[in-house]
Amino acid sequence: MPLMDQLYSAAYRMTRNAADAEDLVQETYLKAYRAYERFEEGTNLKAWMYRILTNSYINRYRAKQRRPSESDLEDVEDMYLYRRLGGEQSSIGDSAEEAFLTSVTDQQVKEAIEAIPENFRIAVLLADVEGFAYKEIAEILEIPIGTVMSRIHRGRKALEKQLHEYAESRNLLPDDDDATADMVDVIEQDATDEEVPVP
Amino acid sequence: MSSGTEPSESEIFAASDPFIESTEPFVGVDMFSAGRPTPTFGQPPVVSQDAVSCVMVQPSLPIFLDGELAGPQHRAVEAHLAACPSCSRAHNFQARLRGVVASKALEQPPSDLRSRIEQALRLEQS
Repeated sequence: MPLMDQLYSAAYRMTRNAADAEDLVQETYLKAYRAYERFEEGTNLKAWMYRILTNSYINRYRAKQRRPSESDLEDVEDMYLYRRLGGEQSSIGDSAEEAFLTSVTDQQVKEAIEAIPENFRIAVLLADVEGFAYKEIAEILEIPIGTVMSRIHRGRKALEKQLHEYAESRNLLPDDDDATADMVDVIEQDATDEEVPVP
Repeated sequence: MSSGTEPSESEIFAASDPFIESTEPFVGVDMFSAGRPTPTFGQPPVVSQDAVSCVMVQPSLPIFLDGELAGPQHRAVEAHLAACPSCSRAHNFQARLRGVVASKALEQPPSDLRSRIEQALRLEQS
C-alpha cells in the first residue's frame, strides 16, 4: 500500500485524533480499491488518493464541526511571525529567529496546524506538508486555483499566529518585553526615590 | 535593467490580480499586479536596480517559495534576494519555517494499521 504513512499523517492533522485518522485511511483505501477502474493510468495517483481522502473527510466529519471563526485573521499581516521575532531589526532578531526554529517542538507544530480553520488547514496541509502544487491542490479539492491560493494564504496566517503564541509563551520575542521591564524599573525607581527620607 | 531583452518593470508589474480566476492555462502566479496598490509611505516607491522593491518582493515570498511565481517574476525576486540582505534574511526564515513545519507534522501510523487495511481489502475482494 503506497502512501499509507503520508495519508495517515494528513488524516491525523484533519481529524485531530488517531481513531478517526485510522478509519479515514481505511475508508480511503477501500474507496480507492472500488474506484480503481475509474483511475486513469498515467495520471497522478498520489493526487487521486488525496482527493479520495479529503472528500471522505469532508463528507464524514465536517458536518460535525462548527464553522470556525475566520475574522480574527484580518490583523495578521505578511511575515507576521518573522516580524514579531524581530526579523526586521538587524541585530537583535537573529537569536530570536534561531531560538524559535530550533526550539519549536513537534507537538507545538502539530497543535498549531490543527488550530487552523478547517478549509484553510486542508489547503495548508496539501501545500506545506504534502508538497502539492497549486494546480494539483485545485484538482484534489475541486476548487479554482485562486481559491487554493487564498486558502493557503489565510491558513498560513493562522499557522503563524498560532506559532507566535508559542514563541510568546516561551519568551522568545524580543519585542516590548524589555521596554516594559525598563518602564517598571523606572516606576520602581521613582517609588524608591519618594521613600528616601529628606535629610 | 540594462538591455531590452529583460521585461521592463511595468511589464513585470502589469497583470491581473492573482486571486481572480483566469481562463488561460495556469503558468504561475503574477503577484506584482497593477491592480494591487503599491505602498509608498509618502515617498517615491523604493525601486532597487533589480527592478522590484522590497515592498513588492516580501508579500510574494511565500509564492516564490512554493515555486509558483510566473517565470519573469521568479527571476526578478531571485535577483532581488541576491542583492538585498534584508529580504534574503526574511526569505531564509520563511524557507526554514516551511521545512520545520513539514518535518514536524508527521504522524506515525500504528503498526497494525497496514494489516487491518489489508484484511479489509481482502474482505472486499471475497
